[in-house]
Amino acid sequence: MARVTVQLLAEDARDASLLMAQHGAFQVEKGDPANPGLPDDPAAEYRRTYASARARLSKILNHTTLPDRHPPEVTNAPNEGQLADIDRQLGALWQKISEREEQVRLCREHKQHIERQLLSLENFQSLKVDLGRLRQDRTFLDLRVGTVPSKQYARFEEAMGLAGFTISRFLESNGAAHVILAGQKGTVTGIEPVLKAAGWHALEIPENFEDRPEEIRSQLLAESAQCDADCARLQAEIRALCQADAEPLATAAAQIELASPYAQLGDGLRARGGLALITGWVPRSAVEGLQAALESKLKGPVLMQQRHPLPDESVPSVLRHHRLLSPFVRLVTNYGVPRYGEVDPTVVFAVSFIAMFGMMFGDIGHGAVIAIVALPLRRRLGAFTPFLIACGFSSMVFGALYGSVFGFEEWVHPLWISPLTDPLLMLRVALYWGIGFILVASLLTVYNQLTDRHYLAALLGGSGLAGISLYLSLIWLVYGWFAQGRWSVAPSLLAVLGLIGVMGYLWHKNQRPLGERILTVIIETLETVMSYVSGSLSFLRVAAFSLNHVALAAAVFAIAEMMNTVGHWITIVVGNLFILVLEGAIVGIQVIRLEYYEGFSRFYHGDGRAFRPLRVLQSNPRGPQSGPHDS
Amino acid sequence: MSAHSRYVYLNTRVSLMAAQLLNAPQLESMLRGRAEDQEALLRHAGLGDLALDQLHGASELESVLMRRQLEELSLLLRPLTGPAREFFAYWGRRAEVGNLKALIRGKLSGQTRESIEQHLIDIEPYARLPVRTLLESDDAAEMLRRLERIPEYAEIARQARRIVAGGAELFTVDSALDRQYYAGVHRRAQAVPKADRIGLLMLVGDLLDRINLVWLLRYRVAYQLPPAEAYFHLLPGGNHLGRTQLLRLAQLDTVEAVANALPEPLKSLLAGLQTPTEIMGRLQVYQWQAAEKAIRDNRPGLDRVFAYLLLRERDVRAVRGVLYGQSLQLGKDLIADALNLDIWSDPVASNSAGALARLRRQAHV
Repeated sequence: MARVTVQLLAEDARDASLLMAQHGAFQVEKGDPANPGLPDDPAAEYRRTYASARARLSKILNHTTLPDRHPPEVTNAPNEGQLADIDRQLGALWQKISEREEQVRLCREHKQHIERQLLSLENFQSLKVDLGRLRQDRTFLDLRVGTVPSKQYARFEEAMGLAGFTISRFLESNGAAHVILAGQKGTVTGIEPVLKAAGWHALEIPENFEDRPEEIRSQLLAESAQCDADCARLQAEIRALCQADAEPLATAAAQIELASPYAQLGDGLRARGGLALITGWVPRSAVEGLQAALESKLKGPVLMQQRHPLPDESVPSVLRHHRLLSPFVRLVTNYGVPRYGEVDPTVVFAVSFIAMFGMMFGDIGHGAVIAIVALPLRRRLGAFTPFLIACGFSSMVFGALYGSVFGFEEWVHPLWISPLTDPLLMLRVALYWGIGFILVASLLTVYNQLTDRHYLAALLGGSGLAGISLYLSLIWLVYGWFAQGRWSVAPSLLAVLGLIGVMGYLWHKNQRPLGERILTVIIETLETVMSYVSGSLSFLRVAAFSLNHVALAAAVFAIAEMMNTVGHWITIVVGNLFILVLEGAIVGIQVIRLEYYEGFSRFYHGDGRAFRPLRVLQSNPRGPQSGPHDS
Repeated sequence: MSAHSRYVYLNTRVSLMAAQLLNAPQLESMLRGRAEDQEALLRHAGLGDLALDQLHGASELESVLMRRQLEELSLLLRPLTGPAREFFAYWGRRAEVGNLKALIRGKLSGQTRESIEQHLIDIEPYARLPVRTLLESDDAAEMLRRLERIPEYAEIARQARRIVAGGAELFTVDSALDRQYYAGVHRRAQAVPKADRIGLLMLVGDLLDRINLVWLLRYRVAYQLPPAEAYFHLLPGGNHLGRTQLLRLAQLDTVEAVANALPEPLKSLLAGLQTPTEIMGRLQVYQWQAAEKAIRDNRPGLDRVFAYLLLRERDVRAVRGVLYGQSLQLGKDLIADALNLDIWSDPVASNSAGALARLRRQAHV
């Protein structure tokens, strides 16, 4: 990775940012600590206008879609004036849409009010109250009918009591309390502000309601239907507004997209007078290409300086893999992004994950189901489709080695061994696999420590060469004891040397008072040894799950044997589904656990940051969303 | 399982965190001492790593300090589950209430986005309010439509709309927001299992009493609102000021009359005070003293956690005041006055808090 400073004419900065984004290999980074920067921020106003225009466009695009292709005439990023014009145009269009959205809201509110009124009137009708008396204006009595939100009712009632009003709740509907208020007219003050604060909606009692209730009801229903019609008309108007402006909208969207790289430069762009500096990171392999592109396409002169990262500088890591590996990249970055210079474990992770899944869930039938099911679900699974297919194939390969098809062991002859015929062999192989896995992880640790220039840790650390020699010599000793029934001298010497190296390193690392130092060294040494032993034994689960798979199938068959023919096959199918879903999920989790805790925790820091190159941001690829009042 | 075993981690955490709380002499020293003293005290308060030279303005300083408090809160939330977790998580959303007030006020008065942003506290990644979306609204009506789509704030949006229509005062939105928030605090404290909520409810009740009394005096004495309206803006549910007391107090219209009509122990606590500011100060200190008592008693429980959060907020506010005052090159006496440093160790509040704690303990036993 190279820390790059691009010096150019300020007027070329916009085009340069677009070129950088199209090149896809430039990550903006605030000023270079090794180089004095320039004081001015020439894109501050541009960024503000861009943010406003993009927000307005996004809101408009909730009501319409853009054509798939950009207008061909738009090739350059707009300048500040042009971007301001676009923002104004979008503002004007949005203003019209927003006004209609507000009218839609009012329509819906009015409709809600009518519905409450209808409910109240129906209630009055059943009560046989003299509605004419409720409507009458009286000299001394202040009588009102209306609704308040139910949540506020208790406090509203008490406040009204303080104002000398009596309140009666006669109906509850949709979170609103329908009430009648009564008090002495003119002698009390302060109820209007309370009514407003409480969200009071007065309900009108239409004239002649008692004489012609059906007619009044029909009128209100017609009014409600009119509200619906108005809403539909306003929505249609919004769509028509968007369609009428479709062409300028598409042009504006394309221009906003092209403006996005310059707006994203942020603190990475500084200027003074006519000179500008853009600073950032570029992968070494891409520096020349970017320089050539800038020099050939910009009008003014360009000077591009590069340097190596400083020792304590935070450098982004480039994660570039084939798209088939993208699900594995996600699982790796879920643990952490590799530090700059650290081994990217994605390929090792992918290979070992697929292999271990097959080892633990080896079955031709189940593997085929996993691989086949992934195909119709590929849209939903997205990038994880190849992941499932690979796991399915791995399961099929190991199924052929174990001779298992949907748990039936007699259908095909095993190419290697049926797990239950020799469980000890399975456990031994799993242990060898684990030892190999831990050795690879430890060697990667050594590599990472060497790239970090931690030479002493690489040589004498618990995860360094001394630790590895201690681990190997312990394996050698144990193997010798079991195979020949005696301790060998050579591995014993190697183990002592490894132990001295590890303890010496820990002694050097822990600069503490003597007692604490001794205790720390002993405990940490013990921890190192235990970690190797427990880590290796942890891989026995690889064999345990392959045995478990056969045992589960045997259990299903035993139950099936107790059934008649139909029950037999139903049990076989349901049992296999059970094994497929439950055991498949558990195996997946166990493999991830082995990868993360027995692998990554040994060699992988994962505290880096991903390289995020400058890009042209799409305006709104999702198309129209439901409008604010569409629900 | 006893509170000791349930809250052993939490209790240890609070004890460790409480070691960084400040007292009045330390704050005086931070204000008037040398730069090295200030640095040492900031380190003591767990704020030594603040990159003060890189902060621009009060809003940024406030954002950093608020995020620091939220980080501590997230540590305390770890061992909690159910209603207790819900209570403390909700407590952490106070900054959002302030942000929403600033947004509504700014949009209603037609301020620019940049101007509104200056008053917002950036609490990412803890924020739940879609501040950016609301800020992107072109006008108040649009923002209120967006706000109305969030069920929790739908009624607030309608309230604000009444202001736009000229039917209500701006303060009613602030009042509705505060009331809604503190009602949520009270409701969530009551939802905590009985065995864990006694001490917590006491602290929450003290908080509500203080807020109610301050609001009551503001509405009745300063704004001269009629009793019904003033009462409607209050929030019954405190330890000493329930519905009956508040209904009675809402009919009084002077500080003296309210102070005389208060129930004990508030009456004794506030005896002789003449102004709302004095009353606010005394009640605030009284609450701090009660919280300090809860911390000192070392009885494991949720009240200790809440007490710590209240005191930490006090300290953070004070530190912010000192640092911001110094950055504006204000005089030390002026900063001390602004921070009300003289009330930090008010003996009357201290005595009342101690006496009340004894009474409560006896009642509890």
